[in-house]
Amino acid sequence: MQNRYHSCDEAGYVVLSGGWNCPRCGCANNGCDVCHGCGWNRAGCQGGVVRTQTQSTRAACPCETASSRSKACDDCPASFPTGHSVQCCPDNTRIRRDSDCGCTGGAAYQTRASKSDCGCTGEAAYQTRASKSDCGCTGEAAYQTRASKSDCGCTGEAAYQTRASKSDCGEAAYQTRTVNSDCGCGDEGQTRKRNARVGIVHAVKQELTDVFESESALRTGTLFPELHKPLNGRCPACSNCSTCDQQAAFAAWDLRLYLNTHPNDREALALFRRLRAEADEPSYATTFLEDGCDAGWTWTEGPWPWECRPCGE
Amino acid sequence: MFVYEKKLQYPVRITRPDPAMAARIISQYGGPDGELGASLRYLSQRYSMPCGKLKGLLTDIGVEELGHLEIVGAMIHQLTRNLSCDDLTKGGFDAYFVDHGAGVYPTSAAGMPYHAAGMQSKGDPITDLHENLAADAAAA
Repeated sequence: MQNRYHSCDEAGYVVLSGGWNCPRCGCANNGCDVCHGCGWNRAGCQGGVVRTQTQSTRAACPCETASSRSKACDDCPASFPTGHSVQCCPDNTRIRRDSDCGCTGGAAYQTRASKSDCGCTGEAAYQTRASKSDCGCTGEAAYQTRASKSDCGCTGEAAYQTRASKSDCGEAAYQTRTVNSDCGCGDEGQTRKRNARVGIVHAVKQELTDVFESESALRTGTLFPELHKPLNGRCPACSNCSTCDQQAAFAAWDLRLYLNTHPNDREALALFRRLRAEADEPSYATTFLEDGCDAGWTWTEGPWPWECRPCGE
Repeated sequence: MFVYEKKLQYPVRITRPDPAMAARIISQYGGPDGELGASLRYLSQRYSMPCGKLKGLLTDIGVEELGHLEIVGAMIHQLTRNLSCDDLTKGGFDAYFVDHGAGVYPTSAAGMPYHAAGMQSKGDPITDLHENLAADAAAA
């Protein structure tokens, strides 16, 4: 065999001619498809190096770009299964089959079991889902598993809660209802006929999730991030000359208000004890909680001073 | 009964007197949607609430609003220190000053002394709670 350089055509492909080896890539005869490289050698790659098979038909190894000849093809199999198209993930280091990757954004190229995975939009894109009826919801709760397509589709904060049928949800925050005229109710869980109750405000019961640090709490005016809703989206100019004591007292006071309506919330009680310890001086804000693990919030219990009691009782 | 702690719930340190601002902020002290109205509203409504949670909640909120009243009073006091004659005529503070000097008096910015017609306490919990929602929305 002659060893001489071959010529490339305009596209960078070797001009095939018979009877010589390509000394750079070691391809023989009809095996060289790319000038100077291991890229499109249809012999396939082994450890990033072109094989020197002399087969007439070879699968392409698309893993290398022209500029990264020494780059290893991690998943580049020695031969490609028949019937699968082969594509590279854009970083050109991996090969995938049809059902892999194809997702956009940061989670691109995650392996998925089948095409019904991924396909969701936004941050939670590319989470594996069991079937196409999963995901498809919009907003923050996108990509929660749902049982069927009638789930999700609700508006507002409680969007994406699983619901049994399309007649669920609606204005009154996703309460289950039997007919379309239900809901729009102010009270949790009540069913109504038509517009029986108008003008009743529906307020969602507050749950304890996150709390601000005491310094931020006093500055923003609330201990609870979900209640921080500045007017017109603007926060007034904040002063930072409050003392630690004022901050701890404010945080404890705001938590008192929460405990008045959630007296058995253990997390809130534990937080109250921590805030009380944070305050240097005793204050009205931090009183009225007994010590002891099981002591609950008793401020709201018992008779109030204006209630009638016969003397001597 | 009531206990007083010798500290403001939020610090007030106004270095530059501004009587024109005081003439407006006075409504937050003694106006219809001000802190005095808020505290009286909650402290009055709590008697007819049906359950301990609401009695406790309205008591505590009413007490906190008295603390806010104190903050606004402190602001008015600091905004109206060391006034010159020029300061008085600027921004409409002169009318208040004629009757109250640099003292703190519960009135609205329009000059209406504090009155309970700006609040309501109807003895019905749902009505009262709706009134509270409307009042706090107005305050905001």
